[in-house]
Amino acid sequence: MIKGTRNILAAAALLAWALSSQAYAQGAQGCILLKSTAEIVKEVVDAKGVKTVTMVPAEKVVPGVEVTWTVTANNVCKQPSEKVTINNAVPAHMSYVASSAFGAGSDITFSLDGKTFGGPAQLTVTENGAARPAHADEYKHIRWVFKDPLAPGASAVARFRAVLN
Amino acid sequence: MSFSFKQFKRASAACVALGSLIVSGQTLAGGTIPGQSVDNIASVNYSVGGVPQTVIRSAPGAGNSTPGAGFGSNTSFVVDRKVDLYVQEVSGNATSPVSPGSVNQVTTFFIRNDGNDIQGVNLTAASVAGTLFTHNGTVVMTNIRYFVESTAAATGAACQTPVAPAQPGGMQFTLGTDTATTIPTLAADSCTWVYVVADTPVTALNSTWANVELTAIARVPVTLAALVANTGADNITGIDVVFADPAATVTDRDQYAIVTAAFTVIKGHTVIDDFVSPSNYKPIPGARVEYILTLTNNGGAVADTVSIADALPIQTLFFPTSYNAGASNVSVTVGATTTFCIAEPGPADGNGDGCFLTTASGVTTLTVRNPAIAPVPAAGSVVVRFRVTIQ
Repeated sequence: MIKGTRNILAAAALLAWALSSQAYAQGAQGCILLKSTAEIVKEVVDAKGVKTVTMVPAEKVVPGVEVTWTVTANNVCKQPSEKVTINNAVPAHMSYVASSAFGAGSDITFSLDGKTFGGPAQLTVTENGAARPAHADEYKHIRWVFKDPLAPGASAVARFRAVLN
Repeated sequence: MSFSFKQFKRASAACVALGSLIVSGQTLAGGTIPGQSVDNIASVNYSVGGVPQTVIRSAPGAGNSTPGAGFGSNTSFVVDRKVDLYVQEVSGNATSPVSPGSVNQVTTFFIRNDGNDIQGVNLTAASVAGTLFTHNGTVVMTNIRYFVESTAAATGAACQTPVAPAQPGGMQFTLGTDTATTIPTLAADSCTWVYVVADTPVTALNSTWANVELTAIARVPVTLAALVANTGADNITGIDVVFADPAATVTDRDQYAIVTAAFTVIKGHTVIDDFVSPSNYKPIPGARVEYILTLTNNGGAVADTVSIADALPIQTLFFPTSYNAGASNVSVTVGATTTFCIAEPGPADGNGDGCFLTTASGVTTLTVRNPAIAPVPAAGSVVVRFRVTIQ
């Protein structure tokens, strides 16, 4: 393709995107299909005595059990989604498990109050008049900021574990 | 010669007084109650073509793509019932000392409900062999019983370490007051104490040990019916019962240390005078011989009633005026203290000082007993001296 044609095509594409982005209004379908699952680790021993570890939907959950929460953001549009940011509060009755948050291609931060987010080194708590680093079980919110745009049809995954109090 | 002894009865040790527990603003989690729904909803913010889009919230299953804070739904699960009992013997050591033949000897166990719901508890106790606290339990206690502390169960901080499993100050087993043998209800995070009470075989030897094991089984509250765990598919809408321990059963062991006095005896003699030789006296007729009986308590407990009966050799005659210018004829030394008594001819101890002679079939026996012999401590000894004339 000659260079001039590419530019025209690129401009046309940009225009089409700009027009289509204005079409997103309250109530219409968005571009992200967001799923959340709760799973626990299950060890299964087969007839030969071979042990397999699988993830199953959370069941028979009692205090002390760790639940893995997975949020999947799937781009269901024909345009890339940019600045994809997933927010998940640590559920009530649960405590975040230190270092369990994961999300390929994302920067992960935490918050104690839902307003200020930071890495573990930035989160402090005042106890008996002295400041100390916040414990993981004091984190209340988790945020994943994905660095690259999410291509059409692609999925971004955010995951963390929390233990039932 | 023969002898016997009894031990002092030991009073039960007073329980350690409780120090105050300081909790710096922490609340102890009770364990989320069964039936509680745990809900989670995530959200995503994003832009398209540089234009920020309306937030989208998550949903379980197929997910949600309808923007707006009013859309999406919780991903949830319901908390199930965790059945989890904790049992631990209290002292970290054997109950000691326990003397042979002693009854109602107590070992104490701590029990706590670590589950998230109220439970009933059934109990059993039995003798068990094996090594505990570095000692092999070879003795079998008899008449093993178990009783629950009658004071209301404690809860929360009072049931957690560093306080538990020690009992609150002054709390101890009281026969006739602590009589329950089951715990009909024990709330989550609550605790109480269970006593195993047993009798010591009279034949048990010094430096031996007896083990007992307490078994606690979680049961339906109040009725104490059997509990059934839901091991099949998850009951999504209802509460499943999950056992933290196999068969909802936990055990722990405790030990009794049997301690008693245990004597070795050495009998010696010296010829005091033969009234013929200037020295190196010989045991000839007419000679005066002093017998020395040394009894050493190699056991671990004081012997409080030592009784000695020594048959004099047939060829000898008890000499009645050996000590204190003839006023006494038996010398008794316990530790550094020497006392005297008068062994008069029997058949009984006429002067009540603990020493007397009896004769049967031509054999004269000297008996020395309470109150002539003071209690002999562990590692202590009693030395009895008396004199005879060789016929």
